[in-house]
Amino acid sequence: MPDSATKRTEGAQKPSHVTALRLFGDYLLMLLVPTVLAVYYYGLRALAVVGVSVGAAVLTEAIFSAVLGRSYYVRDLTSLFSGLCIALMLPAGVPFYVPVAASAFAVAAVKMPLGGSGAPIMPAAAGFAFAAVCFRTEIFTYTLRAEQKLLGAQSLGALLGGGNAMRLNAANLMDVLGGNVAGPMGTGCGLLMLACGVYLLMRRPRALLATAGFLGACALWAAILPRSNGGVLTNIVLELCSGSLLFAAIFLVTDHATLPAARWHRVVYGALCGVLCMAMRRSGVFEEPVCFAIVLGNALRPVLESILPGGGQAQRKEARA
Amino acid sequence: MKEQTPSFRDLYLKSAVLSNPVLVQMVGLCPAVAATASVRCAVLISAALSLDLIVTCVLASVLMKRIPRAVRVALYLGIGLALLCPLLYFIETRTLMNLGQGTKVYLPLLAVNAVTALHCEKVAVKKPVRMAFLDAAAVSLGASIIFLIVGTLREVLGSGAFAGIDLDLPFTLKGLSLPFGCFILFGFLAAGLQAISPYLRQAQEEEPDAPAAQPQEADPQDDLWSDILEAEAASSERLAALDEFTERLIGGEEDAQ
Amino acid sequence: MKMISTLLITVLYTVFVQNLVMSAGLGMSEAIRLAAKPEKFRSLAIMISAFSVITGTICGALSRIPAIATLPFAGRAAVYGGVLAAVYLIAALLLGLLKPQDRRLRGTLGIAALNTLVYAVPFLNEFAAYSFAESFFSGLAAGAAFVLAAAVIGRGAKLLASNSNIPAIFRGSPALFLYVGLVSLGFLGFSGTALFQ
Repeated sequence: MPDSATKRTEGAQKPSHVTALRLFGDYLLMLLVPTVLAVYYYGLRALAVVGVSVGAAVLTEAIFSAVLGRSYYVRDLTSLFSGLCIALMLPAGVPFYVPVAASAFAVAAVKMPLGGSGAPIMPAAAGFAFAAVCFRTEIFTYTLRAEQKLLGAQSLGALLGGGNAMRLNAANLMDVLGGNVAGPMGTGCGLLMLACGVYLLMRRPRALLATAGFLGACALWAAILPRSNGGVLTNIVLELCSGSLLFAAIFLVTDHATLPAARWHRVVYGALCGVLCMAMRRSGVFEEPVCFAIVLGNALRPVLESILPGGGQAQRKEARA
Repeated sequence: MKEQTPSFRDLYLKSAVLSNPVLVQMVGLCPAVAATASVRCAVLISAALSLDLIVTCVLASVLMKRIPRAVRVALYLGIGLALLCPLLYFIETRTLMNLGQGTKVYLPLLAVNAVTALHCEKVAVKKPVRMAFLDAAAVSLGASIIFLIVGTLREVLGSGAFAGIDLDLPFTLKGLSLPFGCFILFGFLAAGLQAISPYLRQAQEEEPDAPAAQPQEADPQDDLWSDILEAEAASSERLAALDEFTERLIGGEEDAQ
Repeated sequence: MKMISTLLITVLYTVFVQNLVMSAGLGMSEAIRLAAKPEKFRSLAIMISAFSVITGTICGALSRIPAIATLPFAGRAAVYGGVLAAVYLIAALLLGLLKPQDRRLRGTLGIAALNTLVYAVPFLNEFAAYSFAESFFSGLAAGAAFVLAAAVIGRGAKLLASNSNIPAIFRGSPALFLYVGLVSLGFLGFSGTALFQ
């Protein structure tokens, strides 16, 4: 690869040989699994939310492209990915205008104006954060089919936010890991997220460095500064399984455009997102602030890369690989 | 200084539209955040900003050309305080207007806003009084229009009301009434301005005696923009390579990882 | 121990929870203008912190005088502004005596002192009813908050400038506005509300 091309990889423009199509194709394939699970738990309503969210994202993109007079954006699949991600982080009973607003914001205010699939801020995270600010009650109310859930309409996040814990035993641990608690419709099942992680390990092993940093920081925080008086292990399991944390660890933290190039920068970046997320869980008003943490982490990532040593060399190596 | 005085229309097109203080030069953002929370705030802060800007610029042009720069900038603050604090006092005690905590704080903060400092330093102290007045008037008009547009949008979309009257919208985007919503809307307005400004520039060039020099890159101390502008110029060169890049992006090459 | 944690919380609050620049737009114009000058960050941080601490402390002391405490808000605003102007003039005078040649530093001094961020610190201390120690630390943190915001904006602007995929009409200030808005949205995760309601 010529030297000028290597230099250009510094910044938002990642090596162009990583194809957006292939990348997001993989992610979409992985997202299908939680989607199926969401339909299993919540029925057709979940499918409707997914459809509305994805439809809004694609439609916004089409309108935006038409206004700007360009047509090629839709093909890179990022809008589909953003719409699907947002839908899976929402509760299944959410009013339809919430996914519409979130997806439209993600595409119109983040993805399209900030450079398509190379946007320095992750559209899905920003879209969800925007919706969380605008519709806080709608987004964190989990009443649909609550009677079938382990804790009724109470989510793990609400449980921890109230300073409570539950005693984990073999029976309810399976409920927690299987996602049979009230919460976002596609993100609760820890086992499925693990499976997605294994798939990602085969496809993009180095992206999982960020996931490792993220989960490590979250677990460490949960162990040192627990929100409830349960045991250390209980706290870690509940913190990690609550809300969209595992989902974010697999799908949002590993986003290609916002991931640092150097390996250990990825670990630090993931850890930073984790610390921000846990700090926001404690200080903020949102039950699940992980998307805010990702947006802020995205914004701090270039600063981080400029402060930490060893960026340039690793970046070149990465570009050559 | 012998100089041809441009017409207000030219000046307006240039200082208020093409290099709009808020959208293009990105100054005065702090009052903008407060001003655009609602239509009423927008009117109040626009009026206060215009008053502060025009009076300070005229005084600077008349009196301060010999005073050293360091003292001048403090005097701008003094003039601003002398204008705005009585205004705030009057509103607080003599009218029934209930200012929120935000507006109450941001109104005196206008005294140190960057629009005033910038235009006093770049235009007022170098030009005759008439020119200083016209420039200040054009700039305050440019900022006020943006404040009013964004104030209306934020109040209607963010709280479902217009000037305090409830509009009964089915749902509102509360986020837009927070400061970040202001920046997002500014982004879209600035994009709109960028889309129409080539046409406006064309219209201006057809005018025979439009003055060419911008009062922008005059001050060597104030080259802070140059880096961003350079980067921008570099990026517009890459526009040509856009299609090629996209081709590669969606082409069939292998994932490195 | 409790004292230390209170002060630490004050600092974290000012830098992150309500990052003064990002959450309230205080000093935003200056942060954007200086974002492209990372070499100035250190001197700016020191100056903004120093001005915030000195102005905040003097204003805090003055506001405990009954005659000033009972003034209407506009009166106190005038007093605080006067203190800021006086502090700035003294600093400029000292700088003129000590380093008469350094024009650039004098320019930076003006930007560091006369901005909405420094002027807002006394009001923030007043609204939060900070003690002397707390207002000292909130002043110190104001400089850090400014530099954090400026660094984020500066790096973001570079990223955006190097991204050739941004549509032409969004290039430059529109994209930067959106970026700033999104970062501000990110900071909202800490608190969920605006600084001044």
